[in-house]
Amino acid sequence: MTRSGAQATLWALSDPLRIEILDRVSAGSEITVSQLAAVVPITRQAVTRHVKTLEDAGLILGSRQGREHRYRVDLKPIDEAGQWLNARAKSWDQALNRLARYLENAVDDPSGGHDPSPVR
Amino acid sequence: MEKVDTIVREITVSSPIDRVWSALTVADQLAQWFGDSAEIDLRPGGSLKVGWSEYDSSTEGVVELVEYPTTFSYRWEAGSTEDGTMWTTKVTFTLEEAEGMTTVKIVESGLSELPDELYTRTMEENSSGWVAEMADLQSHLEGAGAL
Repeated sequence: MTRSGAQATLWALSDPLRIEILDRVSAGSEITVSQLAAVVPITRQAVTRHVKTLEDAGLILGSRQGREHRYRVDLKPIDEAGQWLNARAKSWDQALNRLARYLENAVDDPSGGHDPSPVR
Repeated sequence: MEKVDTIVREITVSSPIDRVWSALTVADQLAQWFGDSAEIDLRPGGSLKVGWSEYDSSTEGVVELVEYPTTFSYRWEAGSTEDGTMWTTKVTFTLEEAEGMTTVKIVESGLSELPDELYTRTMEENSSGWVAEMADLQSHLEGAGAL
């Protein structure tokens, strides 16, 4: 399955090791796979694979310097995916607030089904 | 840390856990706050449907877990893509009572599996939905002020 955009971002972020790698990349100004492999408790091959996933999702950007690629973080896709999650979280907040209002208003009417005006 | 493909929200209400459980699982009550129509066959594998007449839309799902009075979960439609595939997310309500107050925690998971087409669409729907909700809230507050 190919992933792009927000889906790729969220999927890339759904793995704790990739989040750790992302943290490391964002902590160092520019970092190489070798430097990452030294601090993350997985093999260099595994680091390479995760870095590729992060790069495909656009969360990190690589640039070739001599023999090695150096990576840095791009926050834009994370901001966009965050906005989407926030919008969805907000709609749940609204639903829960309506639930609270419903429970308060229906306090004398446990059946809750006789109020002609829906609580929205 | 919660996985990034989940949304976790919670609210604490001053109602006993039984009442909150009913508000979540009895169709007539669900229709009072969630949508404006609801059908639930309250057993694992049972069907669930919530409708919003205002938006002329409804969402269908399948009940997964029913553990009175603490856990209720279902998997419901997040939308379909052009190839006809229906995508779903899982929604879990967890209830906990303490000193007459009940905390309702909602976890929606599976969001990282949704294709992009749906992100864009829900983003648009949510932003217009948010404006409509603000208008609702405003008239609600104005109505209360006039009393």
